[in-house]
Amino acid sequence: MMEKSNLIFISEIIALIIIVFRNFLYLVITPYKAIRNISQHSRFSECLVIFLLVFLYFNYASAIRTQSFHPLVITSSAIQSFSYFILTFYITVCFFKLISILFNLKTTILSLTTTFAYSLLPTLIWFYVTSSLFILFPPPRGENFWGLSLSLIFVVFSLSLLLWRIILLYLSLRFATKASFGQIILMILFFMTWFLPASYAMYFLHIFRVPFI
Amino acid sequence: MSDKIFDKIQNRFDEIYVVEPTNLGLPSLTNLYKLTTGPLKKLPIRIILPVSFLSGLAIYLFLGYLLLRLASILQWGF
Repeated sequence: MMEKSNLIFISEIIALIIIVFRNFLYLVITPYKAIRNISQHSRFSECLVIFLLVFLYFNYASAIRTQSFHPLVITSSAIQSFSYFILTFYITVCFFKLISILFNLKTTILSLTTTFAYSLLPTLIWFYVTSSLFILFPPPRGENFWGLSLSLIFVVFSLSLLLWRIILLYLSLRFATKASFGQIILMILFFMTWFLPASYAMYFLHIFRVPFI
Repeated sequence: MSDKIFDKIQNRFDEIYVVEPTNLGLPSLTNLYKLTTGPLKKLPIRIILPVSFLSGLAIYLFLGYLLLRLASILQWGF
């Protein structure tokens, strides 16, 4: 028979997963309220669930790239990609923390981490869907009606998630740092000055083709 | 009003006013900001999807069949 402490632990894990997926749903329906709530009440343990989803994605992508569909094999490239993701994520969080200090704004690493982790939802969806589409409708496509239609749908889908990602990034900064509109625009511009060259470098170093952020 | 209800309302107000309302300096700019961001607070997909669709069409009109290559590059991006 299972011990009481084990049962409590399992029920806490299930509750945590339900909270994360409920917040994901709210990010679709009411992103403004959801990010406001996340910035005030979320715990670091919720981020661990999101990071686990990211880790599972890198394994899934690695399986698709190597065409070895074994659910229990964790490849070194998946661990490597996940490590680079964690590094990029925390450099981003620390950058916004530092810039908040420069702007004299009160913020915490926890608030930035939770809001940024939740705002990864569009990124996660895009990468999972793109990897799956790679098997279902592999590129390149022919210059015909169907090829063009599928490409247009995929570009529209990518643009939609990009816009949603931008909205969530803006809201994350708004509620985690309590910065004004102008300050957030400046923060994002400063961020782009190092992040775009870093993404280019990561592309050439074969780390990420599209940055996972 | 009982203390419990008052505390509840107070907490709700604290939650709502956790950030100051945006002021862009000029009333017309602030109004434009509110007009643009207002619909994005609830079900932003209603705005995002048509905007993305129109942008996708614009990209097709601008790039033509190069859209196929753009989609392929994106699909190799995972």
